[in-house]
Amino acid sequence: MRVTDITKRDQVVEHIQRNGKQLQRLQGELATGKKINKTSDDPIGATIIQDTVTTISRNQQIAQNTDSNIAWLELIEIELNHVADLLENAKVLALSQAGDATTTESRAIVAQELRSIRTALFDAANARSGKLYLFSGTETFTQPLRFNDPIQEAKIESTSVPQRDVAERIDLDLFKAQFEEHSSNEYRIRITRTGTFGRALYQVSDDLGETWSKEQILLPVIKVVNPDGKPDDQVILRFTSKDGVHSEVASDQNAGFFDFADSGKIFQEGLEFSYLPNPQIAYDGNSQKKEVLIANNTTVPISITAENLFLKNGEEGINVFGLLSSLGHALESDNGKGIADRIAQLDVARNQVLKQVATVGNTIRELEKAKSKLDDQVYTKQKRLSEVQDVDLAESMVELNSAELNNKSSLDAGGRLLQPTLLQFLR
Amino acid sequence: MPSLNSSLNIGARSLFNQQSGIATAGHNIANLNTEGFSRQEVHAKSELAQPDGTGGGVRRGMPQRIFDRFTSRKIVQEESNSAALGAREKFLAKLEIIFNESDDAGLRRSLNEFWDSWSLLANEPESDAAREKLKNQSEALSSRFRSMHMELRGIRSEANSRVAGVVSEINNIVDQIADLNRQISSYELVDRTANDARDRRQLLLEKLSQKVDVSWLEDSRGQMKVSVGSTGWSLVEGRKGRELRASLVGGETGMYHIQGIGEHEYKVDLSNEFRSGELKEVLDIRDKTIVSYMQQLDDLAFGLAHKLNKIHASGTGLSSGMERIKSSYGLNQDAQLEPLPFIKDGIFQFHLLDDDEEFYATYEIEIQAGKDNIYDIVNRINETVNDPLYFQASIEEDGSAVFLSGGGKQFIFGDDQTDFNVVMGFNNFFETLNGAEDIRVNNRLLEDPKNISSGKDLVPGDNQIALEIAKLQTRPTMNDETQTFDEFYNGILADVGLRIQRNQVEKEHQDTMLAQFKDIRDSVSSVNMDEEVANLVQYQKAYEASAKFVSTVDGMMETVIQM
Repeated sequence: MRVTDITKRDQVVEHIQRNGKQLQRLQGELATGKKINKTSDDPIGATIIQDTVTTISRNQQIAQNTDSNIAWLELIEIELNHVADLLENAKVLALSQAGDATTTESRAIVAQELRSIRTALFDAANARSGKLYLFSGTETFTQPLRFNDPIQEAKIESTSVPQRDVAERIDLDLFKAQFEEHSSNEYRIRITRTGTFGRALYQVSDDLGETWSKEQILLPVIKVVNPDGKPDDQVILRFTSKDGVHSEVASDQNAGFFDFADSGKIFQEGLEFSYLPNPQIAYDGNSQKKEVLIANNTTVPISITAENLFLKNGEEGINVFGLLSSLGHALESDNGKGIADRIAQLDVARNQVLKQVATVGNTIRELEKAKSKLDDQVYTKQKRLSEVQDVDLAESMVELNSAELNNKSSLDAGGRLLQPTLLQFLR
Repeated sequence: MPSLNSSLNIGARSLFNQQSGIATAGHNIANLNTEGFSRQEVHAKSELAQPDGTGGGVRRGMPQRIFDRFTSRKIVQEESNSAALGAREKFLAKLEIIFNESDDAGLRRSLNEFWDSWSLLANEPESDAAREKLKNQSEALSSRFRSMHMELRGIRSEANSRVAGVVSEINNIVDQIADLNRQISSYELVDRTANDARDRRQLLLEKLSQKVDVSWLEDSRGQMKVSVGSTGWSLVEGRKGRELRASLVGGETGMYHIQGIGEHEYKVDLSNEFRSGELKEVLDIRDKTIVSYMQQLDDLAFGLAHKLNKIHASGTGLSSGMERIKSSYGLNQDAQLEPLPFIKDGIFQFHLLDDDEEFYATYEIEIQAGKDNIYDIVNRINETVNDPLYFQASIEEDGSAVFLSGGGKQFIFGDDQTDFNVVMGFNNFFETLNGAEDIRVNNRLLEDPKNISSGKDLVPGDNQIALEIAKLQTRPTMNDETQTFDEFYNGILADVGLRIQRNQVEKEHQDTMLAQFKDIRDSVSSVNMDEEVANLVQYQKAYEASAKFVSTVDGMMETVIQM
C-alpha cells in the first residue's frame, strides 16, 4: 500500500492515543488504589462490590444490635442471679425457723426479714436499663409490677331481686361494702337468710359458686375465708357508713355496730357481694416476646417477663410473692407444717428463676455465637471486596513500567517517522 | 520531415505540460493537510506521430483526482455507524455518572443506610435516636431518588436539544451539497474539471452520513441525489436541498420530532425512519434508553413505597393515637363512584382509645374489592361506629378521605387485610404518585419521628412492624417477587455498565474498520510530500530539458534565417 503523510500521521496519532489510554487507566487505578472506578470498568464486579458492601453494612448493623442485646441480657442475668440469691436467703431463713427450737419472737423477726426480701424482689423485678424496664415484655415504658390497692369496692348483685332494684333495696347512700386485703381468688358472699347484722346468715364460695361454705352470721366486719380453700388468704368484707365511719373493732366478734336500724336495713336473701381477684402484686406488662435479628431473617426472643418469673399460678409455676407472703403468715401464726410446705415450694420457685437464668445464658451464648459469625462474615467479605476492587500494586507497577516504555518508544519511533523529508537531502 | 515550427510547437507544449505538472504538484503540496482532498495527477499523452513518422510531442492532459470510488462509498456507510456509537458513548458516560455507586453518594449506599436504620429501630423501638436516624436516612434516600430522576430528565432534555442541533447541522450540510451540485454541473458543462468541488462534496456527504444514514447516487450530469431513512426521503435533488424540521408540535410535550418538508409545506414525520447515524441514536437514547432507566427507577420507588407502606400502615409508633388524619391521595369525581381500585377483600380494622390511651373500642370494617366505592366504605365505617361524636369518616371536596375523632377519643389503625390504608394513603411511610420523581417521606413522620410505626397497638417495646420492614431488605419483592430491591437495582447498574462495555467493544471494532477503510482511501488519494517533491524535481528537470529543446530549435531557426 502507498504510504502518505496522512496515513503516517494517522498511525502515529492512533498509537499515541492507544498508549495514552493505557497509561491513563493505570494512573487512575494506582491513584485510587481501585481496579473498578466506574461501573463500566467491570459491571459484574461492580455489582459484586455493591452486594458485598451491603452485606458488610448489614452485618455490622446486626452485630452492633447484637452487642446491645447482649448487654441488655447481661443486665437481666445479673438481676435474675440477684433474685435467685434472694430466694436462697429466704429459704435459709425459713429453714432456720422450721425446727422446734424456735420461738415466736424469732419467727416474727424472720417474718420481718422476709418482708424486706419481698421488697428487694419487687425492686429487682422493676429494674430498668435507662428508661426501659427489663421485665415488662414489650411494654417497656411500663413498670411491670405494682402493688394493688388493698381496698376494693364490692360488686353487689342479687339472685332473687331484679338487678335494677338492687340499688333501691340496699340503700347505697347509706353504706359502703368494701373488701380489704389481697387474694388471687375470686370470692362470693351470699346472704342465705334475710335479716339485719347479727341476724342474717351468709355463705362463702371461692369457686364461682360451685361449692359453698357453711352458714355464718353476718357482721359489719367479716373475715372472708372459705374453710375448704386457702387458709392463708385473708380478705375482709367491711360495711361502713357512707362517709366511712365504721367500727373500730376488727375482730369478728361483736364489732361495734353502727346503727342501721333507722333505715330498717335488712339484708335480703339472695344478695351477693363479689370480690374480684386482687393479688397484692399485679403485672402491668404484657407477655409479648421481643424478637431480634441475629442474621438475615433469623430472629431469637430476648424477653423475660416478671409475670413468668414471679407470678405463675397453679400448674404453670409458683407465685413467688404469694408464696413469700403466705410463708410470712405461716411464721407469724407459728404454723410449723405451713413453714415446711413453703420451704419445699421455695425450692421450686428458685428453680423457676434458675431455669430463666439458664435460658438467658443460652440466649447470650447464641447471640455471642451469632456475633462472632457476623464478624467472621464481615472479615471474609472485606477480603473479598479487596480482591474484587483493589489494585494489585506490584502488578500494576510492572504494567505501568512496561506501558511507559511502550509509550516512550512509540513516541520516539513516531518522531523519527514524521521528521525526515526528501527536502533535507536535495542539493 | 517535420517543420521547425512544429518542433517549436512540441517544445512549447512540453514546457506547458511540465509547468502544469509543477503546478499540480504544488497544488497537492498546498493541500497536504486539507481534509477530504484527493491528490491530482496530470495524465499527459504523447501526440500522434507526424506524417513522416516522427513523434508529435506531448498532448496536454487535464489534472485528474485520484479517487477510490468503492472505498469512499464504504466509508460513507460506516461513518453512520461510527457516529451512532460515538453519540451513544457520550450519553452512556453521562448515564454512568448518575448510576455511579463508587462514591458514597449512590442510591445503593442510601438504601443500605436506610435498611440499617430500620434494623436499628427494630432493635431499639423505644429509642428516639434510632427514630431520628431513620428519619434522616429516609429523607436522604427519597431525595436521592428524586435527584436521580431529575438528573435522568436532564440528560433526556440534553438529548432532546441535541436532536434539534443535529437537524440544523443536517440542513446546513444539505444546503452546501445542493450548492456544490450546482457548481459541479456548471463547471463540467463547459468541460472544466471540478475535482476540488467533488472532493468537498464527498467530504460533506461523509459528514452528513455521520448525522443520518444516507443513500446517494450521481446522475449523468454529475449531480448527486441524496436521500435519508428507510423510505428514502429525498434531501438533495439536483440544485435543490430540502430541509428537515425539528418540530415541537404534536407528539410528546417538549420533545422534538423530525419532519421532512416537501413541496408546498407538505410534511412527513420521519422520526422513526432513520436506521443509523447520530440522529437516530440520539432519538433512541432520548425515547428508549433513558426512558427505560427512568421507568425502572420508578418501579423501584413504587415497589419500595408499596411494600413498606403495606407493613407500616397498620402499625403504631410511640406517640399516642390520632385525632384527625387526611388521606394522602384524593379521588377525582369519577373515581369516587367507581369501585376503589387496588384493594382486596377482607377486614380493615381500627381502634378508638380513651384519653388515657386505654382501648375503648375496636371496629372491623368488611370491604369487598371491585364492588365498594369510597362512599360505601365511608358510610360503612360510620354505620359500624355509629357514634358521630366519637368518630366520623368523611370525604373532602378534593376527594380525599378524612377520619376524625372527638369527645376525648383518639384512634389508631389495626390490622388491614384490604390495603385500604395503603391505597388511600393513611399512615403511609413513603408517599408517591409518580415514582422516583416525587417520592417523599410522609410529613407526619418527619414532624414527629415518634409517629414512625415500629410495633402495634401503641406498645412501645413492640418491634414487629420495624422487624418486618427490616426483613424486606433481603426478601424477594420486585419483578413478581423474584428479586430483592438490591438485586433489582443491581440489574439497572449492571445494565448500564454492560451497555457501556458492549458499546466500547463495538465502537472500537467499528472505528478500527473505518480507520482501515480510510487508510485504504488515503493510501490512494492522499498526498505523499516526498513523492510530490520527487515529482517537482522530475518536472523541473523536464522543464529545463524542454527549454533547452526550444532554444536548440530556436538556434536552428536562426541558422536557417541567416542562410
